[in-house]
Amino acid sequence: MRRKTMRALTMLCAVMLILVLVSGVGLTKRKVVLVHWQHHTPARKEMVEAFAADFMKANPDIEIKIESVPEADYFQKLLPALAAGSGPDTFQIPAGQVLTYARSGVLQPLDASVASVKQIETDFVPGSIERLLIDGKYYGFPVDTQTIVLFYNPKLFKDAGLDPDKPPQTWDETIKYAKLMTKRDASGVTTQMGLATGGYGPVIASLMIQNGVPMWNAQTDLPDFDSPKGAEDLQFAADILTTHKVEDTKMGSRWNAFRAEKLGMVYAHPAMIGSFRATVPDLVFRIAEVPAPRAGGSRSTLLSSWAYVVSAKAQSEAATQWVAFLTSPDAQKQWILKTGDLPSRKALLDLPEYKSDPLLAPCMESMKRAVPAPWTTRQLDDTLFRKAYQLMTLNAETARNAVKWLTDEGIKAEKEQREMAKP
Amino acid sequence: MRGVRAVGYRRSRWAVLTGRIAVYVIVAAGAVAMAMPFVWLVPSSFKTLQETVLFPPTFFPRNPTLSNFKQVFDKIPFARYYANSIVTSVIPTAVSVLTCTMAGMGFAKYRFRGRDAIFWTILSTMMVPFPATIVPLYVMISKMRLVDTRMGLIVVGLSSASGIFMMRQFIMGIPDELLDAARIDGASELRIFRQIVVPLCKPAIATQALFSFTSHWGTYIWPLIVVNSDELRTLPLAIPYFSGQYYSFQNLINAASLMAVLPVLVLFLFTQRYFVQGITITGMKN
Amino acid sequence: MVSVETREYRAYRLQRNAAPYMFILPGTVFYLMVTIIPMVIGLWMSFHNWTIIRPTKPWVGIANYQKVLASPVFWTAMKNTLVYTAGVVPFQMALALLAAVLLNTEIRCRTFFRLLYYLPVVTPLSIAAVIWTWIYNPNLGLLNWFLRSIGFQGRDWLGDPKIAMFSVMIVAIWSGLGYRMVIFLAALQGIPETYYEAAMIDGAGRFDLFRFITMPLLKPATLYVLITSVIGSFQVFGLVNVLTGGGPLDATNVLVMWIHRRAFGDYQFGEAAATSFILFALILAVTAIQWQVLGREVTYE
Repeated sequence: MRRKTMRALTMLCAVMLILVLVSGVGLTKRKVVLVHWQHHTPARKEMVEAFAADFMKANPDIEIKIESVPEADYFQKLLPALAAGSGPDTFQIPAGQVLTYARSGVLQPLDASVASVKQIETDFVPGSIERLLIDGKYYGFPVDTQTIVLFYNPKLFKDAGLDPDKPPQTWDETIKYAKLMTKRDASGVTTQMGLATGGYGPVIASLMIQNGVPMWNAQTDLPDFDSPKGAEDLQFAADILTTHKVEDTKMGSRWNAFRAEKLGMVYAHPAMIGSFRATVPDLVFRIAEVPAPRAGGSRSTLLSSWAYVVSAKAQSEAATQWVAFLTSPDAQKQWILKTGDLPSRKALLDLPEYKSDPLLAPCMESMKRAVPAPWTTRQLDDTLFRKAYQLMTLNAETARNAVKWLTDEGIKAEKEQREMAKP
Repeated sequence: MRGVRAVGYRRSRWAVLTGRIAVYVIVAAGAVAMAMPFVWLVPSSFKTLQETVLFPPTFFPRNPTLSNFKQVFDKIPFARYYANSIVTSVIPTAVSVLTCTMAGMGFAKYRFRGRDAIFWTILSTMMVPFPATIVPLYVMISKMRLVDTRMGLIVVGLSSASGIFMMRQFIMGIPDELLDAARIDGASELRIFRQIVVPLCKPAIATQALFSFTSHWGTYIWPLIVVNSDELRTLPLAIPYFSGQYYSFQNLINAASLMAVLPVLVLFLFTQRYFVQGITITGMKN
Repeated sequence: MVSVETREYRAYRLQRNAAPYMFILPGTVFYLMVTIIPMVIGLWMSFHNWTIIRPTKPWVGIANYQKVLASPVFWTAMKNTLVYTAGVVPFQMALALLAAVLLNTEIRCRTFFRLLYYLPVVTPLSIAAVIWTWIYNPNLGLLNWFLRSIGFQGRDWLGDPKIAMFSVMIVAIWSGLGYRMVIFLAALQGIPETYYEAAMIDGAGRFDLFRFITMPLLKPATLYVLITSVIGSFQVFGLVNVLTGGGPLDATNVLVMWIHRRAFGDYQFGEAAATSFILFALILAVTAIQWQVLGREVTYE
């Protein structure tokens, strides 16, 4: 009896030991969990969740948790989390910010075994990865890639006696067309606008790029817009509103005006394609590359993009695999379709299906020419340009003074940002 | 009453009538101005997306539709957010009404060591703008391991400076003689609070409950920062998901907002009867 | 007095002395726990170069304060904040009191009217912004349509730097009036009817009743509304953020708007905290003055 009991107990102990060992092994082989944050659009959330499902199927030992943060409050949520060390494993930041975050120790470079420097440089359009290379290592993959193109309404073109197949080629021509499409009622109130910039920073920066303003002083290594050409560009943007009066802020939102077919042409990011399709599916619109300053001039615009980055505390290999997956050729094909993000992979720009698409073809062309901003401060991403523009349109400041102000403020902001990025 | 002069105020019927008409005109004009934006919201939540971006805008929907409401429920777990909002509003409201009324009693009706210092400390914390304190608060809550928990949402609303201050001001209006009379009868302080102060403060308590609920119901920045998982999201967090730089589903924003404010309106109707108790100035007609 | 202390009396005195602390304990602890520590850390931040993402946060003494005070945008924002407060608080309070008094009389549909006046308080800011932007739209907006129909010229209400602040103030008065009205309403309910009856026996007129009974007895509530309104106005943010974002050309850039942008836009949390504590000092001073001038009498009502 006693012996039997002993045996039974021994057996029980053995079984338990095995169970503990097995579960212990199970625990050590636990899944890698990656928390992924990005700013929100419904289409993008849906898509990234689908990517995550695919990725998890292919990599059963990795679990992805997606958190989609409202765009306007993205930094308000991200920064406290980073300060508390409870931030995400992979997330997105504007490409210009990667330097600051990397040098602050928030990020780790991409795992070279997953994506080598050489591989990245062969695959991606140089402009889209330029800001992501820090101290010889890449810190992220480009996402949310945008240029500036010209949206126009073919119906308003026809009504004004213009040929919708021939969008304006030069700035002068653009103004001429815009004037033909502008309408006012008897009391002089604008009822239809010809052209709009909205004073939007990336549009004004693009005008400067087109006109050959370097926007950067190589000697001081700081922003510089203060040149006759820089002033000329700001003047061109302001004149649209003040001198030619083909844009009128009194009409309210330029997007709603375009949706309502009360605006002939508007400078915009290609992402507006998706927005227009979602809100006014019946609207017929066309896209052209931006007109050149003068015949034969440049059509290069500002390449703005964000980057998917890997936090310093994340499991390096898994995290890099995941962000690489999000920017793979197949993924980028989905991005362009569903969210209007332009592909940053060289191989995709010349795909026949895009070349034959009248809306996408000019966007792809603009992507090839686009150049990234040389600065790192977010103030230059929009607010300072808008203010410089408003100094002219609202305060009747001269263009020279406005670019001087823009340069001074830009230098101040850039120095401040650089201070944070000191190694 | 001190120095009330004897004045004949018996006025002619006409004067009374014109006076009443004037009151109605002023009240109605004010009401139109106050309510108009909200009134605009109601028909707008039945408009299609295309109609919300119409130029010029319409007041009445051309093709009224209920699909906005349906879409709101389809696109986000609206019902769950609703339930979350109720939990994270009702608990802090109930607790804070109690804590604020008690604290108001303490500050209004007693003299004790450190009273003014404590009161001013509380008052002064209201004066620091939130961007300076929200990150330290988050770090603190994070150290307490309350990030992404319901507790983390609730713990910041269990009491409020403005609530304590308001209750203090109202309780100060209760004559000390009432309290002293009860004390002579041997009532304990807690009993005085329960049986004299609370009943007399009903309008103020109702007001405090209404305000507390309104503010917790609408609070946005703190839940945005502290909540990560969908299971805990509250209503105000849902609405910004319908708009962004390149898109704005104004029809869904309208429908969601309309549904979101209804509970507060119900609570208003429920609490407002406490403001009607007692006397009214026109009670003097006879 | 008699110095005999029975056990019951001692127990009574103990609960009497402990009572105030017991009353204030939960409210104070719950509140200070989540405010005072962040406030102290915030103060500490303001003396450091505290850029949120950088691990090193060196001590810089009062450099942040000096930098803020030397910044022209700070003074613009300060001026805007003062203009906003001076323009909103008195009008809002006067209108709220008027609304409360009128809606406390026996008029028809009183509940309905009260509800309408409270609606702006519950209307989400994002919705209010959409609607007011439309009302203010220069070409298609309701306001200019109305002005033109009675023979005036329309204006660009939110786009013209000269009047943008004025337009924002109108919306602010609109959105916060109902809240203050409710406080006044509750306070009016607390005035015992007997006071009015006694005065009426003395032959007091309507205005006299208001001047000599209502006004003095509303004083605690008025002091509360005044102090919290001023504190709130000095810290206005959400409304400005959704209506103008501080523009055009800083015309509506108020202090907390600027603080928020410096912190969450530019990572300069040390400087943002310093600005916050400058504003804190200002609000504290203004509140103390109001307390001194208006608070004294009230205590002994």
